[in-house]
Amino acid sequence: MISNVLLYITAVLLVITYLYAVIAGNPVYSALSMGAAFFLTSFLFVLLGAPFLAAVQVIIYVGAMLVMFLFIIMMFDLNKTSTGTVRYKPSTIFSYFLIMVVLLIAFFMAKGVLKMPEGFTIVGFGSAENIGFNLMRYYLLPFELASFILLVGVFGAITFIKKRDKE
Amino acid sequence: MVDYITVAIYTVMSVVVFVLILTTVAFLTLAERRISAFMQDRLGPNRVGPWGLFQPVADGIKFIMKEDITPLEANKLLYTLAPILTIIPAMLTFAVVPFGHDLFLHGRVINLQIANLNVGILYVFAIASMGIFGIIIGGWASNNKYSLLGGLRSASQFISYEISMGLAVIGILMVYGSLKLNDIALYQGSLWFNTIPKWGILVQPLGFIIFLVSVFAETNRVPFDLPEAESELVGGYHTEYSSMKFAFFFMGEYANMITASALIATLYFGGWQVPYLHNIGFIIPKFGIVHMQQWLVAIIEVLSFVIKVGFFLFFFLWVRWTLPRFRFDQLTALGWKVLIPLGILNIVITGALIMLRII
Repeated sequence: MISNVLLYITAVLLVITYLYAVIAGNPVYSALSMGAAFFLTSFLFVLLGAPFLAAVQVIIYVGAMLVMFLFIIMMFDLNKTSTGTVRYKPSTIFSYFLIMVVLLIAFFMAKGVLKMPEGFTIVGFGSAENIGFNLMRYYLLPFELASFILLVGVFGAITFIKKRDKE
Repeated sequence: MVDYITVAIYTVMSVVVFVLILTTVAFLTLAERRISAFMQDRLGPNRVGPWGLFQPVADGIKFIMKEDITPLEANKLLYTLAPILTIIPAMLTFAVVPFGHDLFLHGRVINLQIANLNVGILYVFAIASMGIFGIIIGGWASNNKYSLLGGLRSASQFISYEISMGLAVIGILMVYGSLKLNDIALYQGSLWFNTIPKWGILVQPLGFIIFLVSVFAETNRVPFDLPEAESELVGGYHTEYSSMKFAFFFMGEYANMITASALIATLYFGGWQVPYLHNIGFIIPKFGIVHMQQWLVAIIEVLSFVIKVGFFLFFFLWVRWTLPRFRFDQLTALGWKVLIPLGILNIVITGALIMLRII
């Protein structure tokens, strides 16, 4: 009961913070709002019984990505940052709306397929042990492939820097 | 069914820990000044009360009475938010650190730890990564070149050293096989060749060095205190701060030091463990058992933890007044070119040793 109420409050706050991250005129406000949203997402994971995901969410998104964003934003000229909100073109808003509709349709289609059987629970669901066990036992190949793709990304980034150095 | 007595016990415990951390922070400022004075052959603050023990109170009153200045061009909202963002995570991190094993009280088992979370050490990393925002935002919102540079340095330093800290901890997780800090402390009581306790420093010496260096960088202490290097940046990220806002930054730094010391003690020095001490007393191989009351054992364990943390707090101060500061390029090079490769090497060696069943 209490967790349900918290879930809905978190969901509403999530929408507000993500929305503000998009429309805020000051990029630092935008980044911080996104940080709050990441943190709320992590809280959502806690409520849904996935503590490992929650911790990793904060470590990676808040601890690494957002620090990087802020690092870059702070290099901007401080006097040029505005305080109001960004005004988007109607066509942009319309395309956002279209994407949202597509996502909603996808959600309702998936809801029927992905429905968990009634009273179905996994012991230790979402715990670090369980995730580690499953990743290493049943999903080792996809896991390793994902890490390989990330490695390719790292090499790509380094190559870009090398090219710029030569110029 | 909620057990209200247990809830009450843990509530009281968290309040006590909170107050204790704040008190330790206050006296740590005094200790820092007295120890630095001792190392430089001065007297240090010794006028307020016996041995200057009431100096933190005087400092606190001074901080409250001082004028709180906000620079004209500063971003007021973020300028105020930054000190709060620094101190809250610093206080929260301690929640998962175990300061004793179990206490049996009237048929009730009390974990001497505020929250035994499943994700344990990851929680520490998560909350610690939020603490950096106070410094970055404070540096940016002050609208001062020096503050901004301090904030930027802090951001890049934090990201670099968080990786090596994580890599060092992976070694510990491989050996003890749990993310829970209480389990890690517990497994360090098991014996190696039936004689030596398996403390982290013995099974992970390389990991310990990497972790120690990274923790110094993460807490912005000398030799890695570049975000506030006074010879280059005036005061770094807190140049413009005064009064209680400055005090919050200061308290956050010291609270982080306490948590860092507690983490070093828990991960590498057995936490609350005393060698050969178990719930029923000392069990010494080939010698016998010395029986003890359970509450006495619990008290000894808490004391052991406090002494270890106290030693590492002293170590932080000791290093600060002994070593000079790094240059920023040296700091980045050390993080990326030395500590991270060493961390990976440590993981490989640990893996090999586990496969050979040595540790």
